[in-house]
Order: sequence, then C-alpha cells, then structure tokens
Amino acid sequence: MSDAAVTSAKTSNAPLSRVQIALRKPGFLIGAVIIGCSALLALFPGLFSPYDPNFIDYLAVRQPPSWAHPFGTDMLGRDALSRVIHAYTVNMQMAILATVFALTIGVTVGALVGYYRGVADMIFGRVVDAVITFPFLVLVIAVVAVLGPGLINMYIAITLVGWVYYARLMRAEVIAQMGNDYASAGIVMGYSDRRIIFRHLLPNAITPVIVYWMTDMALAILLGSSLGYLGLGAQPPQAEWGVLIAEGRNFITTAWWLSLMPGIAIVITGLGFSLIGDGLADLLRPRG
Amino acid sequence: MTDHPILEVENLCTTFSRGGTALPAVRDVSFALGKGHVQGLVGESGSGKSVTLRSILGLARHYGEVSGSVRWQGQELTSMSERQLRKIRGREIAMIFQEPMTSLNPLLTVGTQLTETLKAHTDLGRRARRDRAIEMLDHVGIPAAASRLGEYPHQFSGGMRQRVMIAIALAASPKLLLADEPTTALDVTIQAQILDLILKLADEMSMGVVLVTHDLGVVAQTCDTVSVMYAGRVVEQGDVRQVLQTPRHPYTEGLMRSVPQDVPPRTQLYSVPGTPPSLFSLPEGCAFAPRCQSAGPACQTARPTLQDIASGRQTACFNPLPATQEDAA
Amino acid sequence: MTQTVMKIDDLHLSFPVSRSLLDVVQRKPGKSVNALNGVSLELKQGETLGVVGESGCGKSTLARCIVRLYAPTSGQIHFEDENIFGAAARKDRSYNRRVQMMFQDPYSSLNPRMSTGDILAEALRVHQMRPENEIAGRVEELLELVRLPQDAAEKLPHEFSGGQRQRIAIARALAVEPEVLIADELVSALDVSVQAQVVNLLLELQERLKLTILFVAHDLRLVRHVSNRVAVIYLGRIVEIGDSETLFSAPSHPYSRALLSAAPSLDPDDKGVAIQLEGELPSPLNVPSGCPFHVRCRHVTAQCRTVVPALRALEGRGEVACHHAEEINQHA
Repeated sequence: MSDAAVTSAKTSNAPLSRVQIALRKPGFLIGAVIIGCSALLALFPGLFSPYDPNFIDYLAVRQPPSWAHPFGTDMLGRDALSRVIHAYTVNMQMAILATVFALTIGVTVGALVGYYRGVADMIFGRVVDAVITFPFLVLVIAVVAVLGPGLINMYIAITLVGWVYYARLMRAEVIAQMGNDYASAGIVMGYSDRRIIFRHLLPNAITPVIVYWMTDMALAILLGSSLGYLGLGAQPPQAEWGVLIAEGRNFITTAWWLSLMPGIAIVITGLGFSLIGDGLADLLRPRG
Repeated sequence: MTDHPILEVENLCTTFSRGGTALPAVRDVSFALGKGHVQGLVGESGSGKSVTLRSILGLARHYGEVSGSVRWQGQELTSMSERQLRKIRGREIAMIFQEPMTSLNPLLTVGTQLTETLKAHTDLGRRARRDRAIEMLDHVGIPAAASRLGEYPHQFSGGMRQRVMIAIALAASPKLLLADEPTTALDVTIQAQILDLILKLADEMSMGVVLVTHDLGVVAQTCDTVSVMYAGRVVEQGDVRQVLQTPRHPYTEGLMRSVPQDVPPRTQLYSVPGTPPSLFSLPEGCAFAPRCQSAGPACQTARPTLQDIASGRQTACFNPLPATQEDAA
Repeated sequence: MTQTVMKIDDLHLSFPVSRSLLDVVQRKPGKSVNALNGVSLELKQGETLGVVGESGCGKSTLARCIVRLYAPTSGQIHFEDENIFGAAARKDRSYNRRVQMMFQDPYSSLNPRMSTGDILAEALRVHQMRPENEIAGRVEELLELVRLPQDAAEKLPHEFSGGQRQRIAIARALAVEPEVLIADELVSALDVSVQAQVVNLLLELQERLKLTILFVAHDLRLVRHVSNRVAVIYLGRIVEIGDSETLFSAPSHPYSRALLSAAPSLDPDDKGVAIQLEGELPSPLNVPSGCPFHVRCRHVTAQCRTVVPALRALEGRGEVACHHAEEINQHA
C-alpha cells in the first residue's frame, strides 16, 4: 500500500489544474454560482430591483405576492422584492466587514504567538479561555450595548470578539508547521523571524483559516441580521434582512411572506459560503 | 528444502487503480515456502514487496485486484470468501507490521488484546487464556510478564511493543508468520534482538516466515531464500547465500555494491544511476533497463521472464552477470 | 594536525517535561529529559566527523545545538574562538551562513509552496551572496553542482523524489557558501541505491569546496565510509571517539563493540556471530548513575555503578570513557 502510494505521489501524469478539480465537485460549483449572483445583486441592486426600495405607496399596503409585486408589499406599501435585493448590499458588506478585520488581526496575532510562544502565548491562552467561555452572540451584544447600536459599532464588536477564533486556529496551525524542518532550515539559514513567519509559515498555515473564514462570513450575515432584528445593528428604514424580518414580525399571521423571503435569502447566501469553504479546502491544499 | 511446501504462491498479480489508470503493483510473483523456512522479499520503496505480502493474506483485495494463486496447505486463498479467510488469519497465518504502535489498540491493555486473540482462535477457558498470555509475553522476552498484562501499549518501549505484537501474532501458534519490515523502526541493537527472537520462535514452532525488508543485511542474517523485487516483479530469487554472494541480476549486484561494506573509506561508492520507475509509466521492456549498464537493445523492447539458471535459482535478465563462483547447489 | 574550527565544551542540555496537574498537587519535582550530558569535541578543518548512536542518544540534539536551533543548558560552543551563544554572536547572522545544516526528512525540510529556484534564490538574496542580476545564473550553477536538471528551478518540491529533494537541500545549504556542514541523517530516509548517489555527491563536494562535515547517522557502515573520525554517543555522552578505521576495526568501548556487531552483515556466512546486547536503551528521563552503559554491560563492576568514567586516551586507540577498557580489550 505505502509502496504504491509513494510512487503515485511522485508522478502527476494527468495534470488537471486545481480549479478544474474543484469545479468537478458540484458543491463548490453551486456555492460559486450562489456567491457570484449575490455579489452581483450587492454591487448593482438598482439593475435588478423593479422598484425604489423606499418608495412608499399607502394605496398598496401589505399586498400578497403578485405579478406586480412578486414578494408582495410591506406595511408602508414598499415593494418587498426590491427591499430584499437592496438588502444584499448591506448584508454582503457585513460578510466582508465583520470578518476581514478579525481575520487580519487574528492571523497576525496567531502567527506571532505560535512562532514565539513564551509569555505572550500564555497570556493569549488566558484571553482565549476568557472569550470562548461566553457564547459569541452574548459577548457581541454586550459590546454593542456599551458602544451603542449601529452598523459601525456592530463591526467593531464582532471584530473585537471574532479575532480570537482566527488567532486560535492560526496559532495551532503555525505550531504544527513549526514541526516541519523547513521552518528549522529557515532559522539555520539565518532568515529573519519576519521572513520565516510571513513568507514560509503563513502560506502553509493559512488554509484552514481561509476555510473557516468562508463559514464565518455565513455566520457574520446571520449574526448581523440577528442584531438588525434586535435593533442593535442596521437601523430602519435601511433595507437589511434582519430588519426586514423584524418589520414583518407583527404581521406574521397575515403577511407571512414579509419575514419568510429575507429568511430564505439568508439561508441561501449562507449555504453558498459554506459550499465554497468546502471546495476551497481541496483547492488550497499543497500537493505532495 | 521445500519438499512439502506449506505456502505456494504462483503468478501473483495485484493491480491498483488510481484515477482510472491501472497500476501493476505486483506482477507474476511465485515462490514456495516449507515448514520452518524463512523467505525474504527485498526491494526498495515501490517495488511491491509489501503489497505481495498483503496479497497473500487477502488484505490487498480491499484496494486492488488480485489474480494468480496462493495455496496454503493445499487450499486456495485467493478464491476464499472473507469469512473463510478470517478463520485462517491469526490462527494459521499471522502478520506483524513495521509500526507496532499503530497496529496495537492504544485504548486496550496488552493483556486484553492478547486474550482477545486467544478467545477468537482457541478453545481455551478464561483462566487458561490468561496463563497462556503470560506464557507468551514471557516467551517473547518481556520481563515481569504477569504484571505487565494490565499495561497499555504506550507504556512499552518501541522494542517491547514489537515483542508484544509478536506475542499477539503467535498466540494461536500459527504455522506461517508474515512480517512486514518488523525492525525498520527499531535501533540496531534492538533489531538484532527482535530478529533473533523471530528466528528462534520460527525454529521452535516450526513456523514458516515471509520477511519483507529493504535491508540486505537483515536478509543475509535471517533468510534461507530470498526474492529480490523491482518495480513489482521478482528479478532474482534463490538461496540467500548464492543470491547475495554471487548476484546474477545487475540490480541485485547494484544493491549489494551500493552498501559501503569492504570498500576503501571515503571513495566513491558504486551507485545505480537514476531512480526506480513510477508504476504510472513503466518502460516497455525490462523495468530496470534505463538504469542498467549491461542493457542491450533487446532489454528496451522485450521483458525478460524469470528463468532457471541453476537448481532453485532464477533470474529475469537477458544478460545475466557471469557466475564468478561455481554455484551448483 | 590541522586547525580546529569548532570546539564544543562540556555541553549539557535538558528539556523540562511538562508536569501534570496531579504531579503539581502531589509536589513531585519537575522531571527533565537529559538529552546531552557533557559532550566535548573538536571539529577540525576539512575533516568529516561521524556521530553515531541509537535513537534518543542525543546525536540530533547535538547537531541542532551547533546550528543554534537549541540553546544548551550549560557548556559552550566556540566557532573560531568566538562563543556562538554569546550576546554579540547571537546577533551576527554570518554564523548562520558559515555553518549550515541538512535535515533528515526530505519531505518536510523544503517549503512545499516554493519552487526550487525560489528556495535557492532566497538564500542567495538574504545573505547577499550575489548581486540581483547574477542570481538566476547562480541558481543554475547550484543545480548543476548537485546534478539536478535545469528545469528543476521551476518545479515545486512535491514533483521530486526523496533523493532529488535531498539534493535541493544540499544546494540550499551550499548556496550561502558555508564552511561547515551539519548533516543530520541526510540519507536515512532514502532507498539504498539512492543513498549511494547522495553520499558520493557529498564526498565529492567536500573535496571540491573544502568543507568540514559533521555527519550524524545511525547507519554505521555509512558513517564508517564517509568519516575521518567518529564519535559514539550513548545517552548524551561520548563513550568513544577516535580515528574512523581504528574505531571500526577495533572498537574499545563495550557499547561500540555491541553496536558494531549488531549491524547485520551482508555476508550470510556471518550468521549468528553478532554480540547480543541485553536490555534496551534506558529512558533519558532517568539516566543511570555512574557509567550510563552499566545496566547493559557485561563487564560491569561496582565502580561502574557509581563513578562516571571520563574520556581518556588509550594507547593505539582513540579516547574511551570506560573504567575497564584496558582489561576488556586485552581479553578480546
């Protein structure tokens, strides 16, 4: 078994590119299509929405889905479809802005404490213990409560808590990579710590972090809309899925579509990110 | 020596498939083994030696296609069902592996693992099983055997773990032991002890042994006969003394001469140029031809088959090396 | 004799073993693994010093100490009269250029995401071995030096076999034009026929580039073949050191004898002549008192159990750390 495996690893007679291999997996393909469409809707909502999302029409309040209004209208007569589409902008923005700072800080801190260990690592360990003791949402709500509601404060709160998860993952992976002799070789060659950490260890250690990032974007949308729903995130009249669900809540028995449609948008986008994350794991794994 | 062979392997072939390509991992391996006889399979990584061993016991079936014939005391193993094989595995044919840590269950005590084997393969009662377990540990040279029954594999050193593996493998008094690089992970002084133990037990229990190794020294010191494998085929086989002292296949000779023994220090060693071929792209003719110094035009196009060159001695080469000594057995 | 380039003096290194909570509660003293217990040796210009011993004996730890991957608990290493663990030397990157190391595992010692060309060019750039416009040419030269095809520069490590990867590792070490090479089990992971190729390359490069080599390995035949002098290590101590041919043809320490005898001979006629060594290597967690080998030695006396034998010169032999070397060798 091992004999044959060694030989097969040496050769790559059918050089399929990584992207080709990844696209063969239906999951990754579906994920890519979903996120691609979501990005288009987020960037150019005006091209796809039939109405102005904030146009109020008191003559057409809480209409059920029809050809004119496929998702119906809300209590102010605004077109629900247009509002769900315009919400893509802010919700996709959440996926990026709520995670990208946590990612950057976490990767840097994780790589540094993983490489240097020592006292910094012990302190980091305590911080991790403290943060993961509380549920993520509870901590974020606590921070928002201090800073005050609003999108910017929400991003700050999520970053303040979220970086710990990235750092923890990165630290573990850097420590594992340190067990490889190429890291020792870098030290022996007299390379600077910065070079060893960022040029050698980081590219090899980052794959699981990237995969986690994809799932985290899905979670960020969920979290952002939860806060919006609770009135701590995006503020009405802004079109945001959590806000839309909250607005529809009072009419759940008579105009259920108002809450259901943004909910479906959350599920589909989240699924898209998760599927991409799965495929990326294969795509980013080094060969050999 | 092989008057009444207990194991006869004939034209054994094992094929793996990787991404739609068929990989000839083992091709036309044949040998026979008598009681108390030690047969070596030697070769480098990718030569198919381990796969051959696994094919004998039907372990290669799970990931490859096996053809040819493996006769065990007259019964054909290749056509046996998994259920029938299970009765033979452990009871009549046992196997030990290179890494004893991964083949022992870390969560069970050594005593439990030993008695489980006995339970599966013998009719001994509870007490008798325990006694037999202690006897086996004692037999393989583990001091204070009775007190160590309750210990877990991680509490044993590498050499002691391999002894435990051997004790488990031999608990049901098998007639054949398949050993896959049993000493590769061990230090030389421990290796010597373990090989000695295997030989001693094989002798006492008149058990046949098939030993897979990459170390020609191990072959020289333990085996009666040897098959040298290259790229899935046997290139030379016969009595160990004859094969190692007067190799007739250029690959065997290359292997022997690559080992720095009896050469002036700090001089250039004899080395076989190049690397073993990949199973994905085997040469059309002799697999060794691209690295062979005595290769002629025939070697590039036709594949030499194993031919008798003396009694009990075969080689697969169109231009075998001259017999420097009289090797009439 | 030729000039000494490196002097290792009474090197000790112990790694603390992390205590479990239970140990702390029970106030058990913290244990430590004593990897090196006073190793002293000199490396002479242009020689190959072989270091042999069983796994866990400290030979790789010694190698890693020399390249400053580990800092010793006590003891010193002087390279051209400068203490390499001194404050001034630690900042000095030139030591890292002049003393290079090659590792055992060809599958982990190269960054899997960098091409061979990048790996070599990086070494050249960091140490400013060549101006930027000559780097590509020097990479070609290095590949040729270790006999790799020119198209190797664009390839990633996974596209090479184990032997080829070790050649890349050698090329990387040589890129910075070092004077001393530390080879830690350089060929142990390779097939026999490929081992010979790499050993030949190393011998040839040593000759051409006047390198000093510390060759750490467990394969005695290989060590004998490449070394001028050999040190035998047991449980973190040198038990015998001396000229390679003398040591291998007439080992003086009982451990060296057993070790040499245990290496299986290629000649089937030697079957059964090996000296069997009793027992196993004691754990480095609790090294035996006195001579570390006494628990496995056939010649053990009361003195061996209490007094650590010092390395001393033996007439016509090298240096041996054994109280009874004379008597034992007389009977042999």
